[in-house]
Amino acid sequence: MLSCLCTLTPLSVHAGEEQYIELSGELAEGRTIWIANCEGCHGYGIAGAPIPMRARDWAPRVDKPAEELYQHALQGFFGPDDTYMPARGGNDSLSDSDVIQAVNYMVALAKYYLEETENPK
Amino acid sequence: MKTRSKILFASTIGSAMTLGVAAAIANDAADTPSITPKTMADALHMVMDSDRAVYTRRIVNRLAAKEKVITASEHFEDEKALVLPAQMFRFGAEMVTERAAENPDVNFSYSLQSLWPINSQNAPKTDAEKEGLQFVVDNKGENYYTTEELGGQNYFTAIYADTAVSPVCASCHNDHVDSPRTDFKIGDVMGGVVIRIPIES
Amino acid sequence: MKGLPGTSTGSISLAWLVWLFSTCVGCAFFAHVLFKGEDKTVFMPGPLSSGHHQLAESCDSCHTDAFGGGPVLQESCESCHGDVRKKPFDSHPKAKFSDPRNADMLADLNATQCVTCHQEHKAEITLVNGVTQPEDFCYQCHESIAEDRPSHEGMGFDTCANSGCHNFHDNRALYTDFLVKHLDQPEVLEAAGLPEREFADVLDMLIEYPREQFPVETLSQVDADAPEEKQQDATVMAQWEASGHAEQGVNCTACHTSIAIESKADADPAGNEVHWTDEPMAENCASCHGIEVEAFGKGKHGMRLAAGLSPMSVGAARLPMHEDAAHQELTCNSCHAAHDYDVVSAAVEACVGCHADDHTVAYRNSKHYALWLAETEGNGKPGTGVSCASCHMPRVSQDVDDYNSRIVVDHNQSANLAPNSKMIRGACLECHGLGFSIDALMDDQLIVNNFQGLPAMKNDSLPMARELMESHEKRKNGQ
Repeated sequence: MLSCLCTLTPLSVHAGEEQYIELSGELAEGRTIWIANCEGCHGYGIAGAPIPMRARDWAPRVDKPAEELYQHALQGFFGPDDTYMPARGGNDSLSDSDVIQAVNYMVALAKYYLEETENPK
Repeated sequence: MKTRSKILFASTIGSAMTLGVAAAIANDAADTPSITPKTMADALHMVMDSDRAVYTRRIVNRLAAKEKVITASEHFEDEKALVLPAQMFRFGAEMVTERAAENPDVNFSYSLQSLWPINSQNAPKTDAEKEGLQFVVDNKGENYYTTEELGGQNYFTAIYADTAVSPVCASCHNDHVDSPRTDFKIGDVMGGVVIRIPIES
Repeated sequence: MKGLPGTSTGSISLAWLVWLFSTCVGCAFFAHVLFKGEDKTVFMPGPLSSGHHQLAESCDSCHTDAFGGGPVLQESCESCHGDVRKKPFDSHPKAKFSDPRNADMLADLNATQCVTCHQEHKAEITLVNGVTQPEDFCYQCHESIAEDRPSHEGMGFDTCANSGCHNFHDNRALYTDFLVKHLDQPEVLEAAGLPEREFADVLDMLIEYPREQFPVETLSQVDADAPEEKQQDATVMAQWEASGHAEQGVNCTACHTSIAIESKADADPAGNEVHWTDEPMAENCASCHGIEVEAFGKGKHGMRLAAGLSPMSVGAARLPMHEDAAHQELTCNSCHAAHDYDVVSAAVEACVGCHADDHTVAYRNSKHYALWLAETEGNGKPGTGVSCASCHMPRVSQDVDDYNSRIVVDHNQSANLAPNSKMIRGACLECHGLGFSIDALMDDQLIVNNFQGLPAMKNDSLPMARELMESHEKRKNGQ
């Protein structure tokens, strides 16, 4: 008889889309773009992508100048361990402002979880 | 003096016994089953996944994508190129099968399969493979575990999602003449790693 | 005791005695053959295939153990054929089938065992290439091929291995991407020519080369280190002086040193004494030409020597040979005559001196031979002549160790013959386009007359590969 046991991989911190908190204004649009284009890797740590829900991934990143994060997302970036962030997340049809909005949302998301970790409710 | 030598004698005997017992415990520990097939499968997958990630990042990303001093190709012999990360993974699996055949105590096997394989021989065959590959596609971030019987032997079978980690994973599959699916994008689950560990019924 | 009608007790006892005696004689005879005899063919269950017939008197070349069955035989197969039974040379290596998920497939066709398709001693069911499996075996795994390749719809499963299509083992000249890469090549390439041999240039890569004893420097007769009484033949001395050996510092004792164990036991403690032998063996050649000698031992010329038997004799061959060559034996020196080691005569004269089949006889009327004459007479560019060896002992890039490769003359002339598509990459493509090469090798008549004329038919593989790529491009571009 077959028995099926399903567990979370060690990489995923939370389950479901509810972990991607909803924010207002431009960030709401950023969230939609982010889920459609970035979540596939950044939601799970695929290929070494930093997970915004994981404080230790983003603590060294949130204080970087926004311009640097935008450049990495727009032009692509090889990390210090030869991890590879493709330009525009591999989707050439995204405009510059799409990418920037997605980055803004991810930084906001990361800040939210950093705050939650530092000051647990 | 007499008491002292007695104590010395007793402590020597005591130390010797402690060492003997410790050695016996170490021997016992090595032979006492203490990890479950699931833990073993998870551990194996962690090694495979990490080795492959290191190859993909430190060799292929660095030399082919970043420094552009060499390419990676399916026909790596003819093209004098790097083997693709998925091929490196497969060659490792084949070598494990060969070596495990000579060492029945370490008997496990693994393979890379897909619901949309370029080589149709890598499509799921058993019910567990079919169900598990669909499961890891539908439940991103989760693994699938089951047991099955093949050729009269029972196996614990674990299936882990295999994801497009780079745009070239997706574009190569999408553009390949034999690929049954052409809309992969980075971050998509493209297939799964199937690990089998023989178990008693 | 009552006997059978018409018999007496005495004659029954006699019959028993006769039975006992003949049984004992029979047992003694077979026991002697089994344990003491050299020729054990009386036990052979059926004639050997052409690949192994030379080893008939050496059962234990394959049956290394009387017990153990399949695994013992599999190990024997792999000990000679194993090096090319893995990737990239083999597209169906054993490793491909060992995963337990293939258990069902293996129950139908156990592709991990050589004897599943290549049984020995079964002359009545042995097909070309030593295959003893019905020719439609591809069906077992690839029955749905027409779904992936609509062009294959309706093709019979006994036609997969037709010339120019697929080769179960070495498919390196026939896989789709290779065909696509060579689609529009001319019949004869502009840069037609063989790669240069480079043995003399890569001596520093050969770990085993005795460079301290025989430094690389040009020698003349005054440098010869043979004992005085061995230097009396002026022809021999002149041949050596003009040879590549003398040019590279290979002195007389580099080859003429006995390497038999007993002579080593007699060695002078100071190590100065030369253990001269008049007849160097293949082992002597192997001390520098190891790769070549090893390959020679895998082909039909050297397999008896490699098995520890007497050398193959021309008269024992199954192929047509010149009767007056029947007594000749095959060692290194049969083709590379001492002491000049003339590689030009080794590439043609040595072959045609024994082989008498139509293809060989027709060679001297072929364009290939005309090119060979031109090159050897100094009228053609180096590498543009086509000798017997150009195709049958091709110059191939081979890994000599984990870190180096070099151009080696493959001395296993049997390696690329069956199926003949194995010859395409190592030989034909040096001068010809892929399509032309496949067409020529499909044409049996053209092979018999040694390629005088053009191929009578065109293979379908290239057009099919082109069609596949064009329809794929259209699909990709959304047309």
